[in-house]
Amino acid sequence: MSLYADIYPVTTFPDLVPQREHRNSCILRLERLENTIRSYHGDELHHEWLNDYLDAGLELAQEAGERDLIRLQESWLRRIYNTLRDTGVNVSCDEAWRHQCLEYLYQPFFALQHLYRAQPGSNSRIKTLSRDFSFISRYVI
Amino acid sequence: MTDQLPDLEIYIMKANPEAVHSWLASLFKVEIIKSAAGHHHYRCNDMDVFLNEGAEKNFASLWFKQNDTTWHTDLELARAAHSALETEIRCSAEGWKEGDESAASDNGWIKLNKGQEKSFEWH
Repeated sequence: MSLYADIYPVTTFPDLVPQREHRNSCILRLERLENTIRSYHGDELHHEWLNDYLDAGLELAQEAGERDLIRLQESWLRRIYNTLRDTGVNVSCDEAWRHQCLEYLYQPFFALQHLYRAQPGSNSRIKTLSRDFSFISRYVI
Repeated sequence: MTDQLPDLEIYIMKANPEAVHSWLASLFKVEIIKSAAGHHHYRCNDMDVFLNEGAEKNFASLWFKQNDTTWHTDLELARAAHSALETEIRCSAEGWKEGDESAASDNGWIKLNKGQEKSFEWH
């Protein structure tokens, strides 16, 4: 007799299906925007892309955090941080666009900092992140 | 020397809760605190350990909320789990760790499958 037979009945978690579909659509939206942001070479600014991108990434991170998936939560935040930072220092992109991406960098930075501060023993991560952000801030100025 | 992480988390492909429980029981004194609807809470020695079966697609999350183990990193735990459970394990490459400039950090995640370790970008 299975140890889990009484306390863990076979289930397909039907209540999780809508959540999963929403998450998948959020991931698709994030990926599309990420490609757009990284490959954009125009000089017209698009706040709406960056706002939508941050909304999708922060939502995915928050949702992972609510389910105690700590590394996934960090991974989403790191991903949007890296996208904005990499685009911001990509010299093949227009300077105004690069500058705008870097102006949005503080949002994932603060979210990551908040996450690390909530985790005991994460001092080295905070230090590394802060050093990176500080370097980028100086680069922008 | 690698610092001991305060918590550990890995992702186990198609995790069998009984196999995970047996593996944990071979290493720690395990008490089942709660087990329902894909969520399992174990007390392993004095650590709270959570197995969340529906974490991400086919993967369950195994989270040691406290780390009183001999494993310093997620990767060390992942190696032990991969060896014991013989299934694919994924773990964070801890890209923000100071001085860590390994290739594994570039993609954020490490996949352990059939004895091989490979960095990759999840999603």
